[in-house]
Amino acid sequence: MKRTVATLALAAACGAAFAQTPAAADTGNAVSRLQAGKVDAESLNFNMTSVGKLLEASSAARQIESSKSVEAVERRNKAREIYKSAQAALAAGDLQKASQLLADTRSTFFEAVRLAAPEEVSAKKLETDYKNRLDSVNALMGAYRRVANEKGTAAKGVNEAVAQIEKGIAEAAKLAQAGKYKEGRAELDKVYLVAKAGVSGLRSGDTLVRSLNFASKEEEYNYEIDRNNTHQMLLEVLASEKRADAMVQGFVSKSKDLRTQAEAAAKKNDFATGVKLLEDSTAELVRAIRGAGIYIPG
Amino acid sequence: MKIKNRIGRLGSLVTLCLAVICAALFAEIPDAHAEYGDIVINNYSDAAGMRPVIFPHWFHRIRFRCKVCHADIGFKFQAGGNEINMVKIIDGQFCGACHNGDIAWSPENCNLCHSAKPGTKTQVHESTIQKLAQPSGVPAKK
Amino acid sequence: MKFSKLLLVSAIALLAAPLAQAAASGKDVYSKTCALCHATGVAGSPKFGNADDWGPRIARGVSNLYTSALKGTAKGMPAKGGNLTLADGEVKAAVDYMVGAAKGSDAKAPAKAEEAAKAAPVAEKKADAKPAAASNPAAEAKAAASAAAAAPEATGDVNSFNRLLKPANKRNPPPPEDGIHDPTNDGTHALLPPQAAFGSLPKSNAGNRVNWVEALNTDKIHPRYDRNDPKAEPIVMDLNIVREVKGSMPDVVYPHKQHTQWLDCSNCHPAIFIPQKGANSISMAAILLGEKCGVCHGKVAFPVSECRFCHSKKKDTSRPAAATPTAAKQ
Repeated sequence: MKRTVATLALAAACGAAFAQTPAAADTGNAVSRLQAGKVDAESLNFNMTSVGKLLEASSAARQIESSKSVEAVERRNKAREIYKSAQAALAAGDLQKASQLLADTRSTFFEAVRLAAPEEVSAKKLETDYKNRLDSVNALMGAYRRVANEKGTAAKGVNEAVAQIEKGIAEAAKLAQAGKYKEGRAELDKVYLVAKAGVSGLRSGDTLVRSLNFASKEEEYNYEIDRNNTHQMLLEVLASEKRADAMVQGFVSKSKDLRTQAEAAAKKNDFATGVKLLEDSTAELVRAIRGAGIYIPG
Repeated sequence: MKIKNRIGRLGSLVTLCLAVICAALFAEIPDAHAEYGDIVINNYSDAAGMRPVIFPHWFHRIRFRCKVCHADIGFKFQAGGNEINMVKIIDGQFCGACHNGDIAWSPENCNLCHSAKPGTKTQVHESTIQKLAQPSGVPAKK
Repeated sequence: MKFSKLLLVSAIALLAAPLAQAAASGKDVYSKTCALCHATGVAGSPKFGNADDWGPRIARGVSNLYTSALKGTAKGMPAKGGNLTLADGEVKAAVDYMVGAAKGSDAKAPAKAEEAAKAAPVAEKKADAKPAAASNPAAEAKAAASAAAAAPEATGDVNSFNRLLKPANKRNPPPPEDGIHDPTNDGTHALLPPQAAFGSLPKSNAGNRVNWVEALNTDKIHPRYDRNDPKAEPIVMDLNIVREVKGSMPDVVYPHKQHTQWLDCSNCHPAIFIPQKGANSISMAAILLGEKCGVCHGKVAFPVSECRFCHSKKKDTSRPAAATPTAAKQ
């Protein structure tokens, strides 16, 4: 009875926390459903073995062993005791009790892990996070400067903003040098928001066009190679129910020939011919894709 | 006829039914159709004797925007590329940032995450690359 | 004896499921919506197939059960199991299915509780006739098995609508049936089936078959922008980047607006895209291989089979060939 009430309370609490989708049944969450279900002997056996591994062989167990925390080791021993009684309950056939004790084992063990002061574990991630954020701030700041130049006099207060960002980066770098990556990242987060808001403010409502202007025929040739590759892949992905259709295969082999010729021309530095041959090759692939039943524009 | 006959028939009937049920269930294996965006993570699970983890994007994007996990919490856009282990989760990194009993349920509920068929390779399920690399539908490692 | 009948019935039921009509049958509705609670008896609900739980309820009359299912009860049953998109008939079919399963051994009953498959009642009657019992249901089962294996997607009726298309109940399968979750795991059965969540969301043709951007814009979902603060507002930037493409394919319009509703600048800049005009060479080949736009599109965001979502700016065909002289050739 108490268990049902507890489950319902948990379900209600979790339901309240996630009361978003109107059409979703108010059935609590996965945990409440799991706990409310009947205990299955096979699953329980598997779980018993898993928890055993968790206690002895997992990365968490190694962490506890290598930490200097006495409390962590004690708590883990306590978890071991509970585990033994869970095993006893299972042997005696009391599945409910075994399941409950297993849950207690887990939570005690997790407490032990938390006590094992894993600073070494989080340190590397904090450093990576800091570096990633620094890259982003720099990228946004570069963009901010460029956009401000482009907008000319329309951009007000840019210089102050840029100065602020640079100051923040310097602060953060100092903290990072001292190994304080978490605080460094917090500094960067502040100026990141400045950069983000700055760029947003300048750019909102714009439309930029990247038109097809190639600096040289060679560049266009590379573009065409990519385009040819794309169509080959599109044929695979879109027409995945592969029809070994003679017509489709015909187009594909013709396009392969043309591509070989194009590559030969490119080797001789005749990119103009290469481009033209590739365009023809791609056109054959487009016909193949259409032949397989999918219309795409050419 | 009685008991011997009935048991004989029952036995073969049960076997047939089981075989048929198995056929129906396992007919799906080469052609798994789990949710698009389900991430199977199997860096350390097989070795540890746990089922691999399945992370369902769909469930989480209903509740959080991409930014929260991928910018704030620090998940990389790479299946299996984050080197997550239980210590980090219990410490409150990665999954543990929310699955801590407060924002979402605590990671003591092993089998809610560790729920894939043993041996399933790390993959982004139903991704385009998977379809390109393994058009027969058997997921490839990505 | 009862066990074998139940097993036979469930075997036929399992096999006949693919042959059921596309309109959600009682079993489909049950497995997508009702099973959430009734499979394991959450919150005191009558467990599926459990005669003790269902007996007293059935005794009070099936119409009472219909009312409870449709309107909900004070004890905790939500109206229509919480899935308000279900039709009344579908809910009643699910109730029939559950009642039938609880009755289980009463195979002589008109089996309204079993789903639409005609195989089930026929097989049961055959099972009654002992001498022929083993061979007939076996043959029935085999025939159904081969039919199911041969055409898992086709419905039984040649003239039915969209008969070659995978029916809606085969998409977005629940975790125990989706091929990668392990059905022998207890946790798998506690996970929410996708259909329960997708019922009310706008549909699309690819990926999860949900239009997430529309779902967000029409307030059907409320994903948080901040891990802890449910009220945090996203910083949205409305900047369109138009990328011209060769040939007659419409130009690509990349909208920052929809992306910044979900993502942060740092997600893409500078690791995936350099925020500078002309600095990024993007090709469909790269995208299909999972780079550039393909880091998300084709994995979690909608896949590239939806060309028009990106290639959305039609070329001005009255304009003479622009950019490259060979463009007109296409």
